[in-house]
Amino acid sequence: MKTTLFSVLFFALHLINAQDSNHSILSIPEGLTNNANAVVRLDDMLIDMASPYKMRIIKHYIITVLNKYGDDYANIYVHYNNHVHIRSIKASIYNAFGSEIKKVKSKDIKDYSASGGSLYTDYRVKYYKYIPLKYPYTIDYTIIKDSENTAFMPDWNPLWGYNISTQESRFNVKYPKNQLKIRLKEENLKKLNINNFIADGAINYNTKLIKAIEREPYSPIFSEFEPSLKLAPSKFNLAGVKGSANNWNEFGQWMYSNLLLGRDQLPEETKSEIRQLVKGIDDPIERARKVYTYMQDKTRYISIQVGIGGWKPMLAEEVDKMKYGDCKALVNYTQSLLKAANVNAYYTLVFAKAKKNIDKDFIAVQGNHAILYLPTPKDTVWLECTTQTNPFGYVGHFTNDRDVLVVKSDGAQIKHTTSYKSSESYQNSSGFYSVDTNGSLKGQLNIESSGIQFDNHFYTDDKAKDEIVKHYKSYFRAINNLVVVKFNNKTDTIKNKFKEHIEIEATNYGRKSGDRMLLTVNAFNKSSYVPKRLANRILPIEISNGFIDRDSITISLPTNYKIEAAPSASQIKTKYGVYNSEVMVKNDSTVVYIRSLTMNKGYYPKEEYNKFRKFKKSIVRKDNSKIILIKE
Amino acid sequence: MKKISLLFILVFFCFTLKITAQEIKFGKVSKQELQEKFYPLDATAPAAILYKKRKTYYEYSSSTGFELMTKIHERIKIYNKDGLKWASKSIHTYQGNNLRESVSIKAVTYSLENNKIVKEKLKKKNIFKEKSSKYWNDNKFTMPNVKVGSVIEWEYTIRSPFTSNIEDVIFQYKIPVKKIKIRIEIPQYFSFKYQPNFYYPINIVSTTKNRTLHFQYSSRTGNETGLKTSVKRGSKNITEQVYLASENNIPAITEEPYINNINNYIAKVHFEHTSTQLPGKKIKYYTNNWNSVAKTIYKSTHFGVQIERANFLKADILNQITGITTDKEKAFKLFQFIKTQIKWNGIYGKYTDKGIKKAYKEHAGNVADINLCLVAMLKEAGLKANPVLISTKKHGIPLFPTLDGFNYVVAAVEFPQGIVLFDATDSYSVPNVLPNRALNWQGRLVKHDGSSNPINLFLAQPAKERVTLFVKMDSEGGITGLKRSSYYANNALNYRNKKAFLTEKNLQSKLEKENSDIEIIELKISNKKNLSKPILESFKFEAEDLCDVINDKIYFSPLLILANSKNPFTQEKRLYPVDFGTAWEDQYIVSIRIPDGYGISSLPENMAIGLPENMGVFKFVISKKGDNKIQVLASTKINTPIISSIYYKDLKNFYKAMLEKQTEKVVLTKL
Repeated sequence: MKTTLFSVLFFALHLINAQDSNHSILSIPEGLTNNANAVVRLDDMLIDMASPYKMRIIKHYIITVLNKYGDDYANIYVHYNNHVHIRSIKASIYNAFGSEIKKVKSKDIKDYSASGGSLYTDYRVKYYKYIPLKYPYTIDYTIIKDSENTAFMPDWNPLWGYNISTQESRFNVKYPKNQLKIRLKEENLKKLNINNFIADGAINYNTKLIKAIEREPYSPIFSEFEPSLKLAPSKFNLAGVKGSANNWNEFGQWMYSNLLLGRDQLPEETKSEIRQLVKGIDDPIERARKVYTYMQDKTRYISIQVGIGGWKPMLAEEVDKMKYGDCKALVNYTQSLLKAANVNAYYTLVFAKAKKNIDKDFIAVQGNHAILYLPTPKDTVWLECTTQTNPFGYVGHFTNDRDVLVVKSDGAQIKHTTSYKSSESYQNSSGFYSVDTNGSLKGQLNIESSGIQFDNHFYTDDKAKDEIVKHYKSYFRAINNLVVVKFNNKTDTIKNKFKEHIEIEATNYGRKSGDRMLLTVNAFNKSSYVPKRLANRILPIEISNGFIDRDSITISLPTNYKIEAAPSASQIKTKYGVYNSEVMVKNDSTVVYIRSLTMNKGYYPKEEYNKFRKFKKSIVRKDNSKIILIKE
Repeated sequence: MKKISLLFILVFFCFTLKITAQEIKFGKVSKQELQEKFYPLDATAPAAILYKKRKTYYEYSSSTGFELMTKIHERIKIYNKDGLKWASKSIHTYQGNNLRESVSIKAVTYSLENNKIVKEKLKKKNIFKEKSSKYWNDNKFTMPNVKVGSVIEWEYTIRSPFTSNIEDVIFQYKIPVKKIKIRIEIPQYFSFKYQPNFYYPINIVSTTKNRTLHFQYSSRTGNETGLKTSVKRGSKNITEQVYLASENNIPAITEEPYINNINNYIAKVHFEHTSTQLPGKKIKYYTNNWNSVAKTIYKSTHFGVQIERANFLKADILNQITGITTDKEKAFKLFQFIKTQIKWNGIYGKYTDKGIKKAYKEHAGNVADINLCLVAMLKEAGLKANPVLISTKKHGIPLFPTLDGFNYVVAAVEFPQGIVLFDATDSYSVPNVLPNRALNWQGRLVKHDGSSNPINLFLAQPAKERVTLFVKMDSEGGITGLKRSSYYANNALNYRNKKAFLTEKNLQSKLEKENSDIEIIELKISNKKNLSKPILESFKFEAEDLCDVINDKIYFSPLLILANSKNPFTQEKRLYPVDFGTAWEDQYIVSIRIPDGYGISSLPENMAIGLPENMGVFKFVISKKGDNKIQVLASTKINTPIISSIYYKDLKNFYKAMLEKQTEKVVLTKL
């Protein structure tokens, strides 16, 4: 009773605040419009937990949009389903001087399915987009929603992204202190001017004046330097499933017993089929390999998310029958199959795509994807279960080199997925090309790729022929008028190497100029990207994956021409990487081009950006070196 | 040996004959179909439609009247993993005016397990109905137990109260079709006409058949004893028009770059409702030629009526044009004014959504809300203004008079010098320069009396780019220079939309990227908002890497940062036309001062080449000016916005020759 009264009062205060706030652009503090397409004038969120299993979220935003590139920040998106209910959405638009020009009515707000890439989800979204007549304009909106998913308490993110600044951001949480605790984790808040107040039952953070930053090449992903406060309740509700956790072990036990336990039953026929399949094989990895291929041949990825089904995998039996499932379902299914083959593997949560760790210091539901962890005495194997083509145990850009959460019946553990050394992520190209007196090129190339570079090439594996031809036309974009004559690709699924053999032809590769012909020596692996010039680099430099390229190409020169000039050997050694190239003249008509480029994974200080850029630029320049031929 | 193969062919032949002669029934999937490893006519196909049958007909009941039924039976074979995506399906149903379409679905997957055919039915609970918009529902499902080699089959019937909308009959997909049969039965009360696609003509056989309609009616009889109601049954013989088509072996459609819209080219037949005559009622005509299409559209309350309702605009119009004497200026003033009053919400449409009055008040609307409001204003101001109906690029080319053939509208004003087109949905468009989306084939100008005539949409000057480049080269091969460019017509429109309003920093780095990674020192853009003038862009720059200095020689392409090196046309051959959007022209003048102590030892030769039928021309003229200057004039002109695929080879070679010339080197030698 007391709580309710308090929240009413709190909300009333909130509203008064809103009316006081100034919508005119004249009151935007200096410096906030630099590099900004929009300014968050006010970001005010209140999370009011009535119990560990229910919360009301009130968001009040005032955003001034300065130009068309900032329009998206004024869009209102509110997701809802059976566990998340929208109570109200109120919005008004103001002109530059702060006078109201439009009140958004409920019929202006559209209602869409949130399915996206899924076949079906029960989530829908309320959506409003204002069509501006003039810039700047300001939108002021308040959303009230009730959510049962307290496992996902909203974070505090006072900076919304690139090219947007924040004038003021406030964050308030109220919770019944006798019923639960809330763990907090601050990230990148040190550099901001924060005021906070933390008491039993109340959390309050606020800050003012965060300047806009711009996207920069080779920078860490936004979430890595984003200021934020993360919250995890000790007791929570996940689409109707209640839980509590104070450490990873408790969390793992909860997750195992509520979401995974008993979902691994398989029909007897399938089990005996599996037993038959691995009969006589002792090595657990080899058994797992068989099972993995069996799973890949039998299933496909289909995403259907309804209610707790967003977190709880479909029954293994059901997958066995339907032959499809989402990542959770396919991981659970593969795990069940492996169990039938007497191999232990574990359900694992991961942030897929952008390289992001599961935060080991923060006990809460995390991740956006599931994979399988298979520890064996001699090796650790990670299995991606949603593709039909991925080789056994291969980990690519999607999930490599990051902290993940392995869930076992007795608890959960943080582990790190495969991280390749530069030397393991290699691309070895060897081949030959000839140029005739008209400048036409004919060439053959073998490429072997491994480690993270395997991912860049393996792409072609299951594609249709014209897709592959398109891929090569882009891969060899330095060569104009390219014709792909032949190709032949193979995956070595034991060592996870991809082997390509390509034969190409092109007219006018050698550029004639009077009696001379100019030949860009590096035909097959020419770099062309130089990161843009920046007057004032803000973010550190990150090379997220190291690698090595080695090229060895024999070039046969046109008859009746002799070499007038050839590029000298060069070596560029920096801490970011090493580049070597050399043209060796074998005889009048043959030269051999040797090149290698190593990039070193790591973070480098922003002050070195110009040096780093210079390195990239010199590589591009060296890769553009030419042999000058002259008619005899 | 020979004998055996002949025998084999004979057997095979009989076998195929037998197959084609048979009626293909739901559920009768053969082992052969399940065993087939690849599609015989296209081994790369990930899946194929083995059979598709569509029957569209009208059901009649006394309570609901006619309902349009579309029954589809489809059998698909999955050949590889890529083909598995064909096992998911979404069936769209429409609702509006308190009426809705409904669908009933049955589906089965067939697989071969241990040489036995295993069936798995799709369950009702695995069909998800999702509201995707105000008018559309998606009925989505994915088939159970599908693997490579499986055959899937579904049969569904859409029951629709919208009796005049027969959905397009599609014959071609991204996978090959082995056999397809269609049957459309239309009772005498409805008239439709049909149009197969020009690029893949489908043969339609038309016949008639008799049908007996059964109905119930109540009859009242009255006499001294009272009033009596009784239900009576009756029947009526009618005739039905039947359209039949049957095709075999339709190849998969393949996407090609620079295509306006692939749907223009797929094999399909469009059915257009032309008239309805229910018993005892007057015949109601819909469309039968472009004139009547235009007339019907004009009569709509969301079209012609809107144009006549400009009273509320009077004061604002007067305000805008008072003191302006020429019609041209009046038109331009009102055009500019409307752009500041209603912004486009991104939605297309020949009919107004909110109506012009509301759109004007709310400052936002769809295409028709904006451009019909403009027509209304121009008319009110005493100009000869009319709407022009358009089918956008995305919407396809209307080959056949249909109401659906148009989805966009712009304004036209007749001046003594000729017609000028206006599209106020784009803030930066100018008279006669329409945004790319609207530049499709031709439009149709509709007048107050409903009369109409086709009109050429390509009225603008070519999209021109003029560049002058002054460059000074040093002995290290470094250059400093000044680039001045002006952009006209659609080039100016694109520049204003994509670049002009970027922050200076962003624009600078974009231009640095676009111009071979030069470093821009001073950047200036003029006429950003002055739409009557071309966009002027000028910058000073430095570049280190444009020349190769090797021993005592310097090599460089004389067009420097202006040289194009990429041929966009990499395909060997092409089926569909190349669409440039508009005619265009690039004119480059380059003046290079070579470093002291160097002499010119070799220059590329001059060149002029053209495309057939004066479709385009490229000229390259290079000359020495004194001892230390080189001047280049290079121009490319494409006169035809859309180039037919029969000229593809010519176009490809034209580009090849042009690019080779542009990248040919000048050689300087140390004196």
